[in-house]
This record gives sequence, structure tokens and C-alpha cells, in this order.
Amino acid sequence: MLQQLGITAFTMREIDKHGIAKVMELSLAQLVNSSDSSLHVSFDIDALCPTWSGLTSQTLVFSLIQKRNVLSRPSPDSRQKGKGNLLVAAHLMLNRQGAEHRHDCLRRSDDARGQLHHRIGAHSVLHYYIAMQ
Amino acid sequence: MAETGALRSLDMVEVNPALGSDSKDVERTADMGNMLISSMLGQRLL
Repeated sequence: MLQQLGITAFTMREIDKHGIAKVMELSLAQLVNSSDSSLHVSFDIDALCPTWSGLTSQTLVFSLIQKRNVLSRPSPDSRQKGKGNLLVAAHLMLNRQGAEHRHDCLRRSDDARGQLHHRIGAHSVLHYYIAMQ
Repeated sequence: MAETGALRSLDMVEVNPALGSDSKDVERTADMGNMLISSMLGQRLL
């Protein structure tokens, strides 16, 4: 569906390979190409933690905010293992002319690593996914 | 994100502290949402 709609998408493969900083750079370079470019961001915090009880490591949570390059680093807290709070999904959508937007979801669990489940909004231009473990 | 100066609108969705099982989870979830929004609006450590 992404390919059919011509949607640029970055998954964990690109983030693992290049790091989130590079992925963000590529994303924004594509989306913000003039001084009057506008962005709409839809951020699904639910994807950060599929189960609310999984938010057990404050350090890890803060690391995501303050150090965006902590991605894929093993959790310093062994209690995190197996809890599946691996993922942040964020969605950037070009919002020209007040375009309609929808938000998408992505979740990933420990035992289904690599199996991404998407609900794709037709108006999405770009998705990027941040995972940490 | 903030550095682009292009952010016009922002959804922070699925923040639902009512689902939390204890106050720490609730606080952490709400704080996470706040931090993400603040960061996208330009808040920095330094």
C-alpha cells in the first residue's frame, strides 16, 4: 500500500542502519523544502508502550527524549526484557492546503520482532519509527 | 523538528492515563507526552 500510494516510509531497518538522526534529516529534507513548508505531526504515544505497565524504566524513557541515538541499545534495566515496550511510532504528514490527515498506528512486540503492523492513512507522506529496547 | 520552523499542527494521540494501573505509570505516561510535545516545540536541555 505504501508503494502504491508513493509514500516514503522509513522502518527500523533504516533506523538501525543509519540512526535516527540521519533518518530525521532525510525525512525533513524531503518534507521541508521551502520557507513556507508546513508540517503536521501525528505522534502515537501508544506505540511506545503497548501495555501501560511496560513503562517501567524512567531512564530509558528520558533517553528517548534527550538522546535520540539510544535506539536499539539494550535496555539497562533487565526488567524491561520481554515486556515489549519497544516502539515509538511517529508520523509526519505534509499538511499543505489544510490537507486532511489521519493518524496511523504501529506496534511491535518482543516476540514478533520485525513484524510490523500498520494501519496506513491515505494522506500520510512519511512515517518514521523509533524503536528502543 | 522544531528547528525546521515548519511545524504547524501536532497530534499526540493515545495518551490515556485512565488506563494506568498505578500512579507512577500515569505520571510517567503523561510526562512522556509532555516531553515529546515540548521537544517538538523547541525545548532543549541547553
